[in-house]
Amino acid sequence: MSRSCREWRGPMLDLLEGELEHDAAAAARVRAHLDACPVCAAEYASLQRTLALLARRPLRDDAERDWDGLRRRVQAEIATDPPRRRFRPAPILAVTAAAAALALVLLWGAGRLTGRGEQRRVLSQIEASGREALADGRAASPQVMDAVLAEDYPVDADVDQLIDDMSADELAALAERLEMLKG
Amino acid sequence: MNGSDHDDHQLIRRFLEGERWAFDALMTAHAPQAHRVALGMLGDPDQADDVVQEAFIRAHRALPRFEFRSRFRTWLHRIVVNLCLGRIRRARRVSLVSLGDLAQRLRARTGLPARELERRDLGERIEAAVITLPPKQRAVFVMRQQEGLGYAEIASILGRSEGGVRANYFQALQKLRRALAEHEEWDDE
Repeated sequence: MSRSCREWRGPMLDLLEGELEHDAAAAARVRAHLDACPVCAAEYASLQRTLALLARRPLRDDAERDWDGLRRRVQAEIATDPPRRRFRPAPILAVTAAAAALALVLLWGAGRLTGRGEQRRVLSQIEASGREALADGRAASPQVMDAVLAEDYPVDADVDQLIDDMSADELAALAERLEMLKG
Repeated sequence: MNGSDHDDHQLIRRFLEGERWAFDALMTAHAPQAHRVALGMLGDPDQADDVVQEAFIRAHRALPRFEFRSRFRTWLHRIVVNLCLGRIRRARRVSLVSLGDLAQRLRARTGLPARELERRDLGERIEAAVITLPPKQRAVFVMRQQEGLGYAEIASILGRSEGGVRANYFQALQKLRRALAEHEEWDDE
């Protein structure tokens, strides 16, 4: 899908979900693009089938859940935890609070950087184990190794984002492929 | 803002005036949907219970600071989704630090796959596929497809742009399409 096609994703969704019912001009623009672009037309048809399939999903029946029990548990907790009134600090307190908040933000930032460092270390480990396997001749082939790495670590990827965007399945698949590389 | 939002705001005012039943009424009205969102994101009814309980405790604590500019539902869902994302993040961190058995752990959780998944019915299979989405896509998917929330409200809950939410939803649908490909093919026959 090209960059220009990606820009049609939102309008395609709107058309699929009936959001353009009252905007005939916008709907016509999307349809005209679908008529002219086989890639988007295929994507649209496929999404339509997926949404139809999802619509057939039976949702869990939660009528049987113990809502009274939930309310009782919450009430028991809040009985000892009164609502907190809006805090209006005196000016000197406000300055102190602002300084404390700034310090917290800085500490949080430092922690986040450390977290990213940990993610990078983990990714390096994954990559290193793959490269070791390759160096030991245990990997299937350099091409396979490169394909795995290129697919999972695009050179311009933000590592944090990469980890965030990988689902459990994708992580599992990656781990499995690396196991395969190890032979 | 519709009638039920107006009712929610009335209940919050009554609660702030000291009428405790009003908070109970808010729980009655919103717990089921909050639970469905948490369940969709976490895939575990007990964890969803815990999250909803914690969300209402936090809401109770913070309601005096509610400014009546947004819907109560939006405000509550923001708490629920953030609690879910926190749980998912913590669970993932545990997995990442013990990378040695990452594959084994993930296979145990998601990878019974093929044969086991084939035995599940469509609903369970979709739930299993949804739970493999990245957390933010999962949140968007559950709130949009399952609960029918608008993009603007989801964007407000997640603190993102509407465009970003649409993109997340589109990506979630693409991933689910791949995960459910067998069902789609079966449907086409």
